[in-house]
Amino acid sequence: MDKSPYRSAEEEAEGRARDPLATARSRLEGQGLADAADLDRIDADAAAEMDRALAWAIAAPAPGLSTMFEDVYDPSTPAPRPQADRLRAVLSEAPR
Amino acid sequence: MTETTYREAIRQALLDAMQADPDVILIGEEVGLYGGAYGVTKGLIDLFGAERVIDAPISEPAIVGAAVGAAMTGLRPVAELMYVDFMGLVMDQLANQAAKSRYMFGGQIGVPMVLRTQGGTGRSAAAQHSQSLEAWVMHIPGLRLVMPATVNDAYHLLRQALTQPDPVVFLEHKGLYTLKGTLDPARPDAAWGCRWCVVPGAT
Repeated sequence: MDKSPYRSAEEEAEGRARDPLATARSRLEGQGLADAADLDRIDADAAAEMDRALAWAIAAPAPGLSTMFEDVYDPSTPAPRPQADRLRAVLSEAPR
Repeated sequence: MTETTYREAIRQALLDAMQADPDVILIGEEVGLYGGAYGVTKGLIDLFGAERVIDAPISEPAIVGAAVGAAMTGLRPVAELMYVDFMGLVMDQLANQAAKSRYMFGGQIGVPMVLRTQGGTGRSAAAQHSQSLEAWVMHIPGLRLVMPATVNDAYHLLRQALTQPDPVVFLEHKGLYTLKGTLDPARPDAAWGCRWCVVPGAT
């Protein structure tokens, strides 16, 4: 959490009162488009999805160095060979 | 085979691409009613309308940012920076958004846009309108850079740029717009991605 030493507690409280997420919730409830249980479930689903993604990322093996060139360009087009070749050459010369 | 100019060849490439693909749009300062600072887009707004030839306010970040979003969501925009010297203003849109989105989203999204601009000196356009900044582009992974040297390549390389799945910076030279040459509809001078030596330099 940002400690925000550059602004006062009053200013922060004023901002929180205008929090667009909270505003959207109360507006949806006010218009009868969703009730608190619906919105709580959406929040919980989103949090659970993020938790699963985080756990997956932590458990995944660290990406190999060679993957740094993946997804830089579309695979249907020529890869940036000169840089990749240069990196491989540099790594092969590195002292062990 | 047609005798034409570098300027006219670029205009023809835009015109042909817009006729071939309804997703191609142009956006930039003075690209519409005025016809481009160097006359490249003259008359295209009459042919394709203001929905596809968009006169943007003087905000390069807005122009390139809009093009990045349009490319991500299915259009094939050609954004124009009137001078390459204004590239400093759009480095976030270009280097952090256009160039990196494919990588950051694990290859799930591409930004198939072309950024047309022009550079070079020789027209007394002063210090902020005369630079050659292609090296900046070359150092950004995710971008491709095209610099057409001939009338024929001005046409063909722009058509090819408009088939690429990734962002292309198409860098014209302001001293070449009046260059006359032959447009061969069948083939370009330079192969895509390869240099082509027109005149050998001093050694």
